[in-house]
Amino acid sequence: MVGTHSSQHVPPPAPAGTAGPTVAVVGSGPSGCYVAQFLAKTWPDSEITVFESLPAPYGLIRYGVAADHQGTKGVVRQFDRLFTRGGIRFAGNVTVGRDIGFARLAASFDVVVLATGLPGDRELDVPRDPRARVVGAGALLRALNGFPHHGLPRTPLGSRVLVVGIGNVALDVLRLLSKDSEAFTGSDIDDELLGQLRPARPAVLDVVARSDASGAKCDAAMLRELIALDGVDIGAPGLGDQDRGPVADLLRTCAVPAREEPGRTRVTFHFGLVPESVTTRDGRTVLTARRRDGGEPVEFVTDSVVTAIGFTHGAAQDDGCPGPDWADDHVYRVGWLSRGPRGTIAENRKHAQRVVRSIVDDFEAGRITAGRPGFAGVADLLACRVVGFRDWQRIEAAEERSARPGRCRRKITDLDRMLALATGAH
Amino acid sequence: MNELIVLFGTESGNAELVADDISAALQEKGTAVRVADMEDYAVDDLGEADMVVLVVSTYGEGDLPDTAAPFHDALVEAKPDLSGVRFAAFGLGDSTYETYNLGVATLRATFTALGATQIGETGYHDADSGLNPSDVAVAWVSTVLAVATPS
Repeated sequence: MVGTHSSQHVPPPAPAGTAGPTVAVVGSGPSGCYVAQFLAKTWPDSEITVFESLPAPYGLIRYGVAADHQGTKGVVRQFDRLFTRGGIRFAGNVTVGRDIGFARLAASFDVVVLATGLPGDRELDVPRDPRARVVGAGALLRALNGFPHHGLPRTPLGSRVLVVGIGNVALDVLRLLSKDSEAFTGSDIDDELLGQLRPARPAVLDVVARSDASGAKCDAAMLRELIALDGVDIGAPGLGDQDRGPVADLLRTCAVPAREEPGRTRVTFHFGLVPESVTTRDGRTVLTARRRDGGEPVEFVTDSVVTAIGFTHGAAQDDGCPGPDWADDHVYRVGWLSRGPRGTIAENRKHAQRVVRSIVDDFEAGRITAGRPGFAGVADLLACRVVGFRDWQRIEAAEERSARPGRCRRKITDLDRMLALATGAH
Repeated sequence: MNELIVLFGTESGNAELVADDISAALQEKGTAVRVADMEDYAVDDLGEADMVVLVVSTYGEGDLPDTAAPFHDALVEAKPDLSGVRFAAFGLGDSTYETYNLGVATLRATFTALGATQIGETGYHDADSGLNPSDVAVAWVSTVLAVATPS
């Protein structure tokens, strides 16, 4: 054969040893996906695998961002493209630490990036009657977001609910609990759980915050969204003239006297209160708090308490949660796992960018090297369980097909059903 | 038209994706396009392109994204003469916020004040609409360019 032109279309195989590094990203939440995205851009020749415990990708975006904030969830379009066109492998249904040991992973990949986030709710560190009804905000948001787990809250929170904390997560809880079912149009809220947790809108939502209004951590935009809801009245007793900042200004202008109309929700913000104990009385949950500036303790008699005071790694006995021994020169941490539960998705993008810069610097300086086999080194171990991106798309298509009227999808919360759909065995 | 530059300012990466897709759609039609991050772009170079397409989101209380703010500051500071520059502007925002698409409004006002000529209407994507921002942006840019290059 003379003058064949096929070589113009087929790139020559890379000589052995010159391929890019192999990379494992553990966790497909925003930080993990951003790391994969920036790394793929910097190292187009690298082989990147994103491991995820669930058959579904995107972690916090799918299960933590409130179901009625689809605009924020739209960020997944970028990541979809990463897996469909960007040559990045999705290895779902694989829990590192359980299905594959960390040591085996670290031995198989040139770079390991841990992006497992902080899935647990930080608990209120006060004496607590075990019979008291206390629910973590993260667990509540996951339940309303169709998270496939059995241990999530399912029973009614009641008509008087107290929320501890005043960050954006607390505002998500307040909004989701006080919004009419019809107002969830376009969302992918789990209607079944919404109906179980909140058969009717609570009449009273009390918010207890340690800080004063000036120190409130929530965004003014989130507070505005709550204030604008139909049927919601705002109260802010004790808000002083000395309180400054957007949260204080907003609350001052929108506070109204309580009105005795059925179907309305009264949200009252209490600042400068430090929780002291959670007890029970006559089957109800009682939170006692102390004023930071002294005075008599304040008592709230409620049906349930929702804590929105931050996140942790999760249960200590959880093998899938990175311990201090998950470390080496070629192992990096990113996002909330590294920085703590602060900052938006955009801030985690910036952090991912910085981590990728240091990975590339380390590689260029010879502090880390290429040569480990990558996914081929673990494939035998995982072959029977990996849910790839195409498999996931079958699950997603089923979720979109079965959406109720006015909803963008109906999440499948049964893991076996997800896996059956993934393998095409439905 | 010779070269067109798509400049994006982003906070979560969505405006970058939109900029890439605008560029791909225009290249398919034979237009030479370059995509650049406002973060990496010197305002003195603005005169070089035949046309500039600005793609920018809005963050916080109506602010420009972190990657666009220094670019905007440099414009305000250096006050380059943009009277030879034609530009189109596309904003990504969320209409549930009072500050909907203020970012692109800020940038557009500054460009215009420095003498630049806006081509076509400002394009908007509303994250609350559920529409794919790339679809909206690609449809928008083709109408804008029809204005820019009347046949």
